[in-house]
Amino acid sequence: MKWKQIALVFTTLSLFVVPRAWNQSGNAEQQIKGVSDQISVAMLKADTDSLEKLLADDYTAIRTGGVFFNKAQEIEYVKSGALKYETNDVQDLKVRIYGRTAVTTMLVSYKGTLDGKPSSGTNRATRVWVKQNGNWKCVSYQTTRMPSANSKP
Amino acid sequence: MKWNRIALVLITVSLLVVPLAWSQGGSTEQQIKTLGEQLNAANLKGDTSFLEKVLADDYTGVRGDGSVLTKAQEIEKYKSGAIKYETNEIKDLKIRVYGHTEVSTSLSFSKNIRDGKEHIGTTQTELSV
Repeated sequence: MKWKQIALVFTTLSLFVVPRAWNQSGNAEQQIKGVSDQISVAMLKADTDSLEKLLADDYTAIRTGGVFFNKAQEIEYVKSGALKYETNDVQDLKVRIYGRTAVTTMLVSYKGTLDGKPSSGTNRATRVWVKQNGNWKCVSYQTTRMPSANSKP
Repeated sequence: MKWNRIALVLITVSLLVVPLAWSQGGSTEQQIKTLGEQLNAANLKGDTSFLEKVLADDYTGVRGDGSVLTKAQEIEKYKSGAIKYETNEIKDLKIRVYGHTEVSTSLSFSKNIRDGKEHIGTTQTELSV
């Protein structure tokens, strides 16, 4: 058996795989900021083609009030105009990377219509991203309504 | 140079690491269910030593009012009695596993006191890495 050749194959594979993995984690935060921007723009423009690409097939969203959406329901909600944004500003975006997973938290100030009724406010939002086949996909989204300034004593 | 020894070491390391990674993935759902139950019990009992062990150092919790608690703040809330559960029943638990990450969704029917105010019923998502 040619042990020298086997050792060389292992070493060569390591030299290819390790730097690639290192590079992916190194710029992951920037990648996540990029896809976060893309999803915000897609929601604002009701760009369902982009949402189709950015959301994982088993995506779930829990919106304020505990309303639960899967990917198809979320896209239909936007496509039908039931959810329509006029503004959708993201602030205080924080990104944490755990290998092939990223967790983002942010404040989303929005104005638009929800089921035909005017709606506005600020939500604390959490998104979970998982890298699937080389692309970051959003697997989970949850929003929690922040109390409005008027509701404070 | 003893290439046969080098090759054997590399192969042995691979044989040890791959099955370990595989076995961890196979039982992840059960591990998460158990961990979820333990976490729930710790919340009910105000068991901060368990929370100390199970929450990551960079843990964040978003509360129903949108406020964000760090690990230290969360544990302090339990220690001080600012968060106190009377009941906390988990239903409709769904677990999704992505490698070393898990996302669970559930309905949590709880009765608790937060900062002196009674709080009943919520929906939650939990993430474990």
